Amino acid sequence: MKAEKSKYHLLMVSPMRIRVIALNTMTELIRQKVLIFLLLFSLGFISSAVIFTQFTFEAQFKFIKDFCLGAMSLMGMILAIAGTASLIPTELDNRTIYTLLAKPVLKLEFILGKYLGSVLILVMALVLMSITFTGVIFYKEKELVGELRRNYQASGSQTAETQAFIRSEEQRIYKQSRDPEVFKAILLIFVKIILVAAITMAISSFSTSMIFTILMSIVAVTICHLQSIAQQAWGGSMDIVKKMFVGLVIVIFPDLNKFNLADELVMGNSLPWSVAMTTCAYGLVMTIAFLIVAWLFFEFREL
Amino acid sequence: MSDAVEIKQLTKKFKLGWRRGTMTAVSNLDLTVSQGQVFGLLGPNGSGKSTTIKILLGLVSPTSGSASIFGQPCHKVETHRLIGYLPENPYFYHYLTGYETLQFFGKLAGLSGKKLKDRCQELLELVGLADGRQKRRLRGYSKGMLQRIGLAQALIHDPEILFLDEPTAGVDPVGSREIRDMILTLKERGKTILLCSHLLEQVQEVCDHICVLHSGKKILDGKMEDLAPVHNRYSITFEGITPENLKKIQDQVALLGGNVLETGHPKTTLEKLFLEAVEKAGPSYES
Repeated sequence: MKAEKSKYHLLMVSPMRIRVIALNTMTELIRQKVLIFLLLFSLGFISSAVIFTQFTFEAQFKFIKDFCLGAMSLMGMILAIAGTASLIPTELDNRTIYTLLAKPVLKLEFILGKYLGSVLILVMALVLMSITFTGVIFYKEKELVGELRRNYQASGSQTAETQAFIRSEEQRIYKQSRDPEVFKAILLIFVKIILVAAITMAISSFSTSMIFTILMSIVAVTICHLQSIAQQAWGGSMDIVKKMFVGLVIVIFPDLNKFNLADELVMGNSLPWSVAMTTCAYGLVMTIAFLIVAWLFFEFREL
Repeated sequence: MSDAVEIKQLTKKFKLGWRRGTMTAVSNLDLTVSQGQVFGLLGPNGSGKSTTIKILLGLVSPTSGSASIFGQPCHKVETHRLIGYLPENPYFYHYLTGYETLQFFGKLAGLSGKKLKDRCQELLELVGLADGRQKRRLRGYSKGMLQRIGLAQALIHDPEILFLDEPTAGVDPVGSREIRDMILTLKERGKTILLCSHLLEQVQEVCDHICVLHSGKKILDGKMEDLAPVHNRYSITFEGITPENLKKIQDQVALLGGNVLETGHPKTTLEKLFLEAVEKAGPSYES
């Protein structure tokens, strides 16, 4: 019987059923309101960046980018963990999974549907956060340009040199506010949070409670952020047991620091598209790997 | 033609944890449900009924033995197209409305467009929820209403076999009778029904065949017509007879070597009284 169970036809996977489960999951997450509250909090948190004005305009923009991208990354990860961690345990606790899997639905379709429902919510959240972030930047740009013009109008100087200076100052402001590198940073944040959601999904596929899933996910994400320490330790001298442990950490946990572009932006550095795309590919490969782990755990789990 | 359900030497052992051994939920079970039968799977709590149903639904894999539905292995997802399942307690998404619930399960079963819409409407009418209550979220449904929507979702893809786990649990006597009538209608349409219930009177009314499990083992299996009657006893109900003539009949029975064990007036059932009273009072639901 066990051997028969392994006869799994991937061709039987139905995108239609995955879509139905994903949309239902999205409805579930929206109607439960917890994520909406978290999202509203995130938008308020990002909007609060306009309050800080006591720096030079370059420093203000650097601060806003640093603050907002950091907030998007942090709140995105919180939303990814909070949204995904509840999906499988809730189905098991409410026993809705029995009714669902009694229909012609593969466990793989269930996992993918649930995950994609969570990703849809994350896309929505990130779009709203990006719009708020853009709003903050444009508000600040308008405020600074207006302030610049008012200062020079107040000085009464209308010479061509002054006009040229104002234009050059405005260009400096626009260069800071309309920085295309920001899109790369947001793209990398997106890949990072869908990877965090996949890690959470993998944990919840064998976990027995939502609290356990959330705690384990936080621990896993923390380890993922400390990868650089493990990589440094790998180069140093240590005994074989420690080396194997560190090696295992490096292999299992993805390096989430690769997705943090905010620091580079603040430093004024540009990240080539090739590097950004390679990082995205790394994130997507790791996401698929974690989803396969989630599926395998769930496939052989007794419900 | 293959049987609707065929279970051979089915055993399921659950691991209880490290160094705690195993627990046998089902032990060497052999069971056959013929097509078109209403089959009662009975037994006290913990007797292995739910585990057997979970194995048939492919949710749990057996330790040994096999189970098939219409000749197809039950763990195959394609087999689920033949099955409609109503769980014991209504396990549905409370944030969906009744109509959305049917749409959701219908889409999972491969229905779409007008066909799905028509089927939802047809089933809502069948289970008596097409009066506006289908627009309410399940969070606000009573247990009886949840059972009705549960039955509708089980029937959404017109399955060949229905697994009904306590279909009338928590349902009022009127609803309970409607569900019982629905089971008989489905039987007339040629559907096979596997019914788990603790309401033995109801089982006796609708089932052709019963099987009783105890501690994972089959302790009784047979057709209702063979099991239910007490073959060496007879009952006759008279009308329009005087007590003197009744005495004469009793004497005659004694003369023929029989024993009259019980005499008296037959009582109406509480269910019948209840149904008559409710019927007299008129409809109670408002949309």
